[in-house]
Amino acid sequence: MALIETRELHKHYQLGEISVAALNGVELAIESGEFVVLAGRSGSGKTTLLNLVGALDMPDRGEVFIRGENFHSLSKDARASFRLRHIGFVFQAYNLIRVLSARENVAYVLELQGVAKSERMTLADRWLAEVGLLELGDRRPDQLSGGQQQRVAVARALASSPAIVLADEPTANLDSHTGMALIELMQHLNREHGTTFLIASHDPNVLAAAGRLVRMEDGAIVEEERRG
Amino acid sequence: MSSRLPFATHLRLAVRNLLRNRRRTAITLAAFVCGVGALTFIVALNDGWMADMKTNFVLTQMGHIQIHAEGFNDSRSIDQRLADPAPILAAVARQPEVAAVTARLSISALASVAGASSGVDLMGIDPENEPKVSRLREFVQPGGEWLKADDRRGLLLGAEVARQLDLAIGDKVVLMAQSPGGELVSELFRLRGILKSGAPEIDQGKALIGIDSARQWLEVEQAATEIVIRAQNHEAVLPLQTALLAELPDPNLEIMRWSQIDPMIEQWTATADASTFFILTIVIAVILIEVLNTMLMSMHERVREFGLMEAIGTGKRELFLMLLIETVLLVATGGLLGYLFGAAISLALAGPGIDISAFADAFAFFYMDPVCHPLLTLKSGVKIVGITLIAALIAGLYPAWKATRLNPVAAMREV
Repeated sequence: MALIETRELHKHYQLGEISVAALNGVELAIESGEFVVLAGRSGSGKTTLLNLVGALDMPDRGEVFIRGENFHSLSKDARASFRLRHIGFVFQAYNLIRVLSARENVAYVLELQGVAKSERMTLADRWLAEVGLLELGDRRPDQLSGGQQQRVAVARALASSPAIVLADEPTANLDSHTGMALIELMQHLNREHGTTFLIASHDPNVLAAAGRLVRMEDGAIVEEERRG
Repeated sequence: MSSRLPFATHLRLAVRNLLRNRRRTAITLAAFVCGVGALTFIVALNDGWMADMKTNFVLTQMGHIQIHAEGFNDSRSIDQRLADPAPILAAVARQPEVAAVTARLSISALASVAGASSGVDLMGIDPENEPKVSRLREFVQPGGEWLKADDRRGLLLGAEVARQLDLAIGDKVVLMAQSPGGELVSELFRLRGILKSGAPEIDQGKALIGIDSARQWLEVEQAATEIVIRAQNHEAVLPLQTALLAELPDPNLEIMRWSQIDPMIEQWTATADASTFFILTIVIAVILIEVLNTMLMSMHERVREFGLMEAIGTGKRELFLMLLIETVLLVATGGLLGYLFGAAISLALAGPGIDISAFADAFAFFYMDPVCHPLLTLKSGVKIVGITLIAALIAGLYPAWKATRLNPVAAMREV
């Protein structure tokens, strides 16, 4: 059984009187430990697919299974719990809670999971160390650079031991050097911990790092390429 | 509503979020401090007024509790009298809540001098015990004197009566009344003093003589129409009445609190309380609109963050409580600081009081002192802080509810 499986996913958005099809019957299966990159131009449906896989949005038709579990019948609150248990997120920007320190941001998801304070602080420090930011754990987001903030977001995404980490244009707001460092970090975590990544990006550096490249166009998968 | 986040985390988030925009939080708090502070002072002023009014009303002549023969309070007739008040006086004196007790003999009478007469409310009093129960002695104007126990002819008259009869200290006055047998009896008295209190029922119609003179003149032996009791304080009145009803179970007696005898002041107090409550509601409503505005602005500024929080697994309950606790914390802090501010002003002015002597004549009618002393009470404190907190919960519900309605995808697209 695939870690993630989508079946005939359809999604459209209403823009005034015009109906825009964002996804047209997308079928995708991702195995555990894969490093998948969704490529495509703006409007190709990458982010919509990520939102549906991440239980942030609901498809018009079709289904998404994560570890064989379908979240479509769940309430809004239950979907939040589902995300907490199964999915880690790294967004393009505004990834962190402004009033919490880097350590507290990482520990926040663990607190929601009910992990005891001493254990969650140990785990938060471990993941901050993993992304090379242990010494900056007490800093608030506005005291961190963009790249550092993204690394804290990666640490938070991994802290709750999710089935998969979804990243939407994680390097879009970073300079190429910092972006490259973030990609290398995610590759490292994929190799060392077997964490599954699904990344939507049109950054050539991210595309080059993909273990599996999925190209999208007009809401459909048009090409897949598996590498080494 | 339970949350997966401990209360300490909610509180920490609330404090930090309130400190995000310090100027806005400070302005909201300042509005609260001024509003609740002013409210606390107004309520304390009102409570002080009402407390003074009650005390003045009770101590002017009413007493806290009166014991009469059944029916006397309605008829005010000497036919409903206590033939032997001594055992009642002894039973009353045994109660620990009693500060003082005295007997009176009251009857309607006519005061006459050559060519003029005036109806008076004649009261035979015990010159030694009466000042322990009422303030009547304090109303004797300079030049006059209080009644003496052995003065069989001594008379005190209200200032307005004395003016109408054109009387001076030392003048002779004939009092005429109907004895219990139905006979008209008269007696000659000499004016020892003039009473001026500001209360019309004293100044315009009161006449005082010694109770022994009254008994002898009206031939009622040791009878009295009223046993007047001063309790240790206002709070002791109800328990004392209950104790006296148990101690004196005679159905021919009526044991009444001051507010049962004359409910005017109680009604006045209730009216004042109602108007204070009205003011309190308006002030709190205005302040809470400000809080609602602050919290909605704060919520809209953080829409992306709420979207993020939802995306990473924060549930509706957590978001709801987060906003609600933030609102309650803001209001509770402002309310508490405001109450302390108002309480400090009230306490500072409680000693010297606020001089309203410019209006003293008008207020004397309502038994008000010319100097008003603000009074802080636990009841008003609980009312102000309680209503503030309840209103905070109500004001917090809307932004908290709005936060739970956000769609994370749409919220994270907000700029």
